[in-house]
Amino acid sequence: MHPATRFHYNCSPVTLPARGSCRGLHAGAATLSTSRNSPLPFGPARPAIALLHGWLRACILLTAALAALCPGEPVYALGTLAGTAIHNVSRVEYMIAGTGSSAASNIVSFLVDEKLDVNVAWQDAAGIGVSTPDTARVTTFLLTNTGNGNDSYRLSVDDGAGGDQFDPVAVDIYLDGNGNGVFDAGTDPQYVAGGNDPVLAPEASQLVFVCNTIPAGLHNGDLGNTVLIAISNTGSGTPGTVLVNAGDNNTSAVIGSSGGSGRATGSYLVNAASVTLLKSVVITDPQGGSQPVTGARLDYRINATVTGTGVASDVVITDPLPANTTYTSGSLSMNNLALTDAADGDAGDVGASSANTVTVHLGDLSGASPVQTVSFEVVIN
Amino acid sequence: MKTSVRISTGLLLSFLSFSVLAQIEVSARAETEVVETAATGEKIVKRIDATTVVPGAEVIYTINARNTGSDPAKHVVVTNPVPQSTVYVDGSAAGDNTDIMFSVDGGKSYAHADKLTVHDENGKPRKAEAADYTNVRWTLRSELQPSRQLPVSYRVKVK
Repeated sequence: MHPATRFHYNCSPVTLPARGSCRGLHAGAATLSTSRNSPLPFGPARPAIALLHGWLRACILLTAALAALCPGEPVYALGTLAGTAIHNVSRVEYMIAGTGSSAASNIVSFLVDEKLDVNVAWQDAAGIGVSTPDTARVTTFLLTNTGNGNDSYRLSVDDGAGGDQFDPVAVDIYLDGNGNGVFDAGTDPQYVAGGNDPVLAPEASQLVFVCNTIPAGLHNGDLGNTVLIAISNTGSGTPGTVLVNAGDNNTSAVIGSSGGSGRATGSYLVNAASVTLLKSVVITDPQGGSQPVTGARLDYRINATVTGTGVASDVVITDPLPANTTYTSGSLSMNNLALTDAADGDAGDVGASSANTVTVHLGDLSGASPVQTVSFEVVIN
Repeated sequence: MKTSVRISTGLLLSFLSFSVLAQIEVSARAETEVVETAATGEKIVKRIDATTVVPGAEVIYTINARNTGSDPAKHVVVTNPVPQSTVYVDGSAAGDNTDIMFSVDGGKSYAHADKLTVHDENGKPRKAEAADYTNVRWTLRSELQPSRQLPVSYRVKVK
């Protein structure tokens, strides 16, 4: 845990500074943001198979007390429940001197031990698309008790595993408290190690949300892995290790093939949609030349190009008017379509959103979008 | 039998009938195998009484029928259901001089392993597998003489 960098409940849309540049006389600025949602599968179905066993005959023959031993306990796909008593009675039938008789044996019983097994599975189909930098992005894991007894699990995140281009920075772990399969900021409880370790019955599952922050300065296509680790609080270690009386119903707990711990790797994929702004100017002086003299007309043109994967959301171009110039009313256009100067229904304005500044909303752009062009005219005073 | 003169005919009959019942006694035990390494490095398989068993492990049931009476017993048949939450281990039933059969219908009928069929979920018959067995039956091929024993055994795997 990193309390100092804890990010509270802001795990969906993010904004980040532009990577765009503006060449020419004046600086420009663009804002881009991306947001992603990943569908989450729900936990596996819980098959409960009840088998009718061959106790029938024995039960009829035995006394009412023995009939209480008849089957009824469910058998789970992952093994008989820890603490289940398994009884057995044998019978013998025979004839002596022409008379048939029978006898029942003693009842032999044993208890089923608890097997400690756990599984963690990453739920997102592919790397979570992120920006660089990015704040508190959620990826989802499914924790399943694959043992046959009740157990609880200590969770932790390892972002330092290799095989990737960057390390996400773990912020928080959340539990799907309301069981709806998606992260609900402010509703799903934050996980506190030792405080609310998930307690799971056999075959029960818990969705776990891991929040990571993404560093700055990464490149489009960079992969960052984040590993969720769950360790049985009853016991973990070498498979086959017996922990006397640690299991349900005072049975022994035996560490299963998982070693009593599970881990799964999730990943983030940098979708660095970068916006490049190219600004150019054509000068026309009153004499028909191209000298920047008083009365000369400056035709500015800004081309916005998006590269990389992902979507740059709500791209806005702002460009302060040059000093000592006067904006030519009605000269603003976007993609060769005129825009009014006022802040109204169209995408742009001059001086309304920001004083002495051209502001144009280009909307959501991706690498597939055509080049966006904003143009306007000023006259040198 | 000094007291017999003072008990009623009915009680005497029931006592006689009890003494007939007690002619063969049957006992059962459940064990698991543990492998121990001797000082020589030799691996020794030891059987211990099963008190707690981990899922997936095998349990050995040993059943012993003893003729405690004075008359030989004919048609001696030992039966044992495969307990709930366990599966019969293929080929594990043993018993000297016995005919071993299995049931897949809770003990209503028995047949040799290769003659048993069950119906799949589509109602089609198929050859029964060890996991389908519900009961095991040993039929002694000869009489069980007084003071002789009939030990039989089989294994199950805990689900």
